[in-house]
Amino acid sequence: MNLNDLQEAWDREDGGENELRLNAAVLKEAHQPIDSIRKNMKNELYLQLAAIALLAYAPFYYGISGKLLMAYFTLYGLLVTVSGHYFYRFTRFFGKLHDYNANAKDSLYELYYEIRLHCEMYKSLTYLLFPFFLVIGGIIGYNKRTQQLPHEPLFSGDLDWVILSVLSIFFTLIIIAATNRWVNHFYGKHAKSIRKILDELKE
Amino acid sequence: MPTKEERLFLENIQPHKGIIYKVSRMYADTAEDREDLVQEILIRLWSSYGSFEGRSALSTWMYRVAVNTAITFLRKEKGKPRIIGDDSPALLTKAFETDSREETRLALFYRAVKELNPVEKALIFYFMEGISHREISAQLGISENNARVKLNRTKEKLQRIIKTYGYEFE
Repeated sequence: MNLNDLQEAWDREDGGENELRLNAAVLKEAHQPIDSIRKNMKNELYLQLAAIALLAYAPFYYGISGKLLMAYFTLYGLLVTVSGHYFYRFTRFFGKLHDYNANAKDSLYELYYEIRLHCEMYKSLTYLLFPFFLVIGGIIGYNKRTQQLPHEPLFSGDLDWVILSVLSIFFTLIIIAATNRWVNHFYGKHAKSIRKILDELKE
Repeated sequence: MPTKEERLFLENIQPHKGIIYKVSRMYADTAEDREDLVQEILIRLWSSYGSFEGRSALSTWMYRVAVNTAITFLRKEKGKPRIIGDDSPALLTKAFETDSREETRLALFYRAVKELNPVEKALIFYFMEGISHREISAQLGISENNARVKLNRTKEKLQRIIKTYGYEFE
């Protein structure tokens, strides 16, 4: 017997008496990489959005006033503009339908680049937001310190500046490493598996 | 309740529903996953239906959307074993020895297909559907020669897998 001998049984396979029904409610979880990424990224971006919204109330909570308040909201305005641009681009990504009409190779390439592009966008948004959070945190800390000890200088010498710079660099590197690990683990794996399928299609 | 457009769409694809069920059976391991994949394909077909211009046969378009959806399908609960219940090779081989019905052979074939990678599954699916090398190359976006070579290798691989179950396809 060879594969051709199965032809009759194969041709008879038509799903039997089952009626086709459109019922998206049956799908309790995302079964496509792009849907899974969109679902998780959406939830994480909502959290970031909530954190940004909360930052608007921080100066009032910490009693920041005067020039420091102006500096805070100038920075906050920039933060909202930058993140607004990214959120807009992500919203378009979440609403875009993937083209399943193309041939397998084109469809997979499109999917692969779409995932890679949005992983990189997600990383760059986090890298961009972090310095803002760092400076905003600095303003809050500075304000608290000057309220508690108004007559003492903030830094006692050059060493304090060095420590501050080293700590900033250290935390920035930690955030970059953590973001890369997070994105590669949760989103990059999908790009990797699609890349593997694309490699199977090569000559 | 389906809308008028949905009903019309379902009526149109109903004669070709075998495509959806066969692709799902090849790409999904469990009954639950199969059901989800059928639904997933239907949803993709429905959302792409507006862009189907009728330049190719409806079945050709369905092949493409179904295979593209199945190739990237994510299984439910990845920790679950892939082989379950009456689908196991030992049971199928035993059934084959006592019962030579085509359905049993087909079940053995499906079991072996599950050990292929997504591209190999697509090649075997198109082959079983009687699609020409040229058409397979167009569906997958590869050269005709590449399609021919890959299909031959996949058929050999499939036969080797079936052999490990204690049976041989010529």
